[in-house]
Amino acid sequence: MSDDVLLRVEDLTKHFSQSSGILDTFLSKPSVRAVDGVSFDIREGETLGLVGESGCGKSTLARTVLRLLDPTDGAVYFKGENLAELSGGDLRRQRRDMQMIFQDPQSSLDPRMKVGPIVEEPMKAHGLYEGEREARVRELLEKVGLDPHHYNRYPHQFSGGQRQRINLARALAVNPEFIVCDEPVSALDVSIQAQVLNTMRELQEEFGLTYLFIAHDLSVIRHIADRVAVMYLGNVVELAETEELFENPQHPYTDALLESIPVPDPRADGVRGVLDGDVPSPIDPPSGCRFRTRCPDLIRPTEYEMDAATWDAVLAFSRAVERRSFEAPDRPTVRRQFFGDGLPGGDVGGHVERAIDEVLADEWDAAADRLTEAFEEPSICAREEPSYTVEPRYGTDEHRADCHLHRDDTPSPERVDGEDPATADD
Amino acid sequence: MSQSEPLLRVENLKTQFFTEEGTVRAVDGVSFEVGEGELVGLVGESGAGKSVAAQSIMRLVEEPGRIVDGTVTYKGRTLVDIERGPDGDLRESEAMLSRREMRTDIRGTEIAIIFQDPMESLNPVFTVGGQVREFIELNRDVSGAEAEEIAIDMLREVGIPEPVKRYDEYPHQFSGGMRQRVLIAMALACEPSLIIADEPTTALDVTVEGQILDLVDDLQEKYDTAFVWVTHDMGVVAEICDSVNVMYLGEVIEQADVDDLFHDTKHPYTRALLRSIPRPDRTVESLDPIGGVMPEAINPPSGCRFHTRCPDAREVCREVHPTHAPPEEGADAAGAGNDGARPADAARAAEADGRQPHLVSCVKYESVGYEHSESLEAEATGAFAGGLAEMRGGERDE
Repeated sequence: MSDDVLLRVEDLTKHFSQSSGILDTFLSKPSVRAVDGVSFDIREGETLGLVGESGCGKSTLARTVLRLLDPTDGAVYFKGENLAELSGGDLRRQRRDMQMIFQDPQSSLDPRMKVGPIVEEPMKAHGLYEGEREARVRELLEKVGLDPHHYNRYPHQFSGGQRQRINLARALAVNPEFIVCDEPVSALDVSIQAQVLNTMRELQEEFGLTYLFIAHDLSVIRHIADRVAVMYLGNVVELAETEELFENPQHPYTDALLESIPVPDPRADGVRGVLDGDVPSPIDPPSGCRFRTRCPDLIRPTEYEMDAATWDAVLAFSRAVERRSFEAPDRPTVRRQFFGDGLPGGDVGGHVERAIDEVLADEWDAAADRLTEAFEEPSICAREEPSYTVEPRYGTDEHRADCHLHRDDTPSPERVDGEDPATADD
Repeated sequence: MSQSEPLLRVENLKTQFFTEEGTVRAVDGVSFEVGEGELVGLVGESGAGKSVAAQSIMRLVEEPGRIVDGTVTYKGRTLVDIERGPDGDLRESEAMLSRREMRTDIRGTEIAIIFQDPMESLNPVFTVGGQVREFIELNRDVSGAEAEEIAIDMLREVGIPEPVKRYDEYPHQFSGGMRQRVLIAMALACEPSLIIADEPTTALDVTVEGQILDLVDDLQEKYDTAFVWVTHDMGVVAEICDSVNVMYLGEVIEQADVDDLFHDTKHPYTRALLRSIPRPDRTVESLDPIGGVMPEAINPPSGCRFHTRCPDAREVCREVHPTHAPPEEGADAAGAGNDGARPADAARAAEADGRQPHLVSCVKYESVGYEHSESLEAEATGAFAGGLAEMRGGERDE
C-alpha cells in the first residue's frame, strides 16, 4: 500500500428527480437526495470499506463514482482526472482501469453465454489482447480458483461462490487498477464467503488492486478493509482505519451499528436493539446532523439548564410522543412512565406539562411539534452540519467523525472523555 | 423445558423431493425436541434442509416434495406419522391428523410460522390491519369488531407506532422491519405455544434485526412461547437460542446446548463453520474456509456426508455412517472434551436437568477404528479448488 491517492471523491452529490411526464415539469416534486456531499480518498493498493444500512446511498455512491450515474454535483478524480467532466472516448478509456462486481452472481452473468466469452467480453469491448484472449481467460480462471477447462461451461453449471469467481475473472480481464465491489459476498454462504474473501485478498496482492468494498455486514468489512467509511442517509458520518473504527468508534451511529451485530459467542454480552425508529426519508433529510432524529446522544440545547438524567428523560419522552409508542390513560401514568418521581421545573417542565395535556387530549401531532420545537430544534445537532476529526487511538491515519460531541475536542493527545490512550483495552 | 414430555418431538423425519433428476433427500432422518418456552435453533448453510425440515413439521411441503418417514408429535397429537403398510409401502398412519384437523386445530392456533420475506407473506392489495383481523377471525371465535380490537392491540404490542392509523395502511407503506413486526403480531395473535421462524431476520438490516430479536425476547418472556428458529447466522444463534441443531446435507450432525456448541464444539463441521466466519468483535487475520461446496442431496456421499470436505477425514469416514450419539470417552482424537467428566454421563446428567444433551454424528467419537484409519486427503482440496464441477442446475435452495 502506498500513500498515493488513486481516487479522490470531492463533495459528490447525486439527487434523483422524482418527476416523470410533462405535468411534473410544472409541479416540481422534491428530489431524492441519495448521496449528499460525500468526500474521501482511496489510496493505491488499499481496500476502502463502505458500510451502511439499506437505503443509505452506498450503491448509488458506487455507481456515481464509476460514472454509471451522472453526479448532480461534485468531482471524482481518478489518477488526477475529473471523471465528472469526461465524456465519450476519454471516459471509456478511463473505465478500462475501473471495474465493478455486483451482489447477485446469478443475474450479473448472461445465462446464454459460456464462461469463456463472458470473461472475454470486456477485452473485446476495449479492443485489448487481440489473439491471446482465450489463453488469457484460461489463465484468469485459474487465478480466481476455477478450473481452466470450464471455459465452455454455462453459468448455471456453477455454484454461487463459483459464479462470483467468474465475475472476479471478468473484472480482472482488462487488467484494471480499481475494482468497485458492491456486496460481493452477501449472497453467499458463510463457508463460501470466506473462500471468496481470501481469493480477493490474494488477487489484490498479486495485481496491486485497489478496492472500494461495499457491504452491510460489518464482520466482513472488518476482515477485508484497511479503512472504513460509515454511511448514513447520504452522508459519510465516520471514516477511520479499520482497527480504530471498530475499537474506538466516535460516532453514535457507528456505535449503534457495532452494538447491533450479533456476536457468534453465547458468552458475549449482547446489547441489541439500541436504535429506535426507522431511517428518515432522503427526500427531506433532517437539518444539521442527519442522525439526530434517532441519536441517543443528542446534545442538550444550551438555553435549558438540566442534569443529564433529566435531559435523557425529556428526550425519551419527546421521541415516544413522536412515535406514539405508549398509551396515555391519565396524567400520573404518563408522568411516572417517563419522569419517575417528578417533572423537571422551569421552562422545561412547562413544555413537558403542556405536551402531556395535548397527548391526553389526543392531539399527538401538536405535542410532538411542541417538544421537537422546544428541545430538538435548538440543539446544535439540528442547527449545524458537523464535521470534525479526532485523534486516533490506533494507527496514525486521520479519523473523521462528524458528530457535534467532538466540537470541543481539539486534535491533541488529551482526550475529552479522559480515557488514557495507553491504558485502553485491547 | 418441561421435565416430562416435550412440546414438540420430531423423530426420524425424512422429506424427499421426487424430481426428474432423481430423489432429493432434503431431510434425511432428523430428530429433535422442543420444550415449552424453549428457543431451539436449526442452523446450516443453504441446501442443508433446515427450511424443509421446518415446513415438514407444519406439513407445508409442496409437490414434488413428500414426507416419507418419521413421526412428529405435538402436545400428544400426531402431526406426522409414517408407517410401513402390509404390502411394505410407506403410508400415513391412522393416528395422523387429517388435513382438516391440521388447518383448524394446529396451524395458526397452536403452531404459527413466520417466513423470511415479509413482503411475500403479506398481500399487497389488502390493508395490513385487514389481514391481521382476517387471520384472527379465522382462527379465533370472535366477532369482526372484537377481532379488529385484538388486531390493533397486537400491532401495538409488537411496537408498531400509531397502530390505529397504520391499521388502514397497505404493506408497501411499511418498512421491512415493520412488516416483519406485522407478521410477528399475526403469529402471536392466537397465542400459539410454538412459533416456527424461518430466517425471519435475514432480510433485515442489523439495527432492525437487533430490534426484532429484542422484541422476540420480550414476547417470549411475556407469553412463554417456544420457537424453532431457522437461520444460517451463527451470531443470531449465539444471541437467542437455548439449544441448537446443526444441519448438514439433510442430517442433524450436532445437537447441543448453545454454550456447549460454541465452547465445547465436537463436530468438525461445526468447528470449521465457526472458524470460517469473520468476527465483528475482533480482527481475524486470515479466515479458514471450508473447502469445496456442499454436495447435492440427490446422491449424498457415502459414510459421513461431510467426509468430502472434512479436514479430519479418514478412510473409515467414507465407509461408516456415524451414529448420532453422545461422544464417547477417550475416542476424541482432538481431545476437545477437557473437563474430565465422561461425556456419556454428562449427556445423561444434562438430560436429567432438562438441558439438551450433547449429541454428535462423527466417527471420531465412536469405536469404529478411527484412530487406526488412514487419513483421507479431502476430495475438495483447499479453498481454491472450488471443487465439484458437476453442479447441474446450480444449488437447489431449500
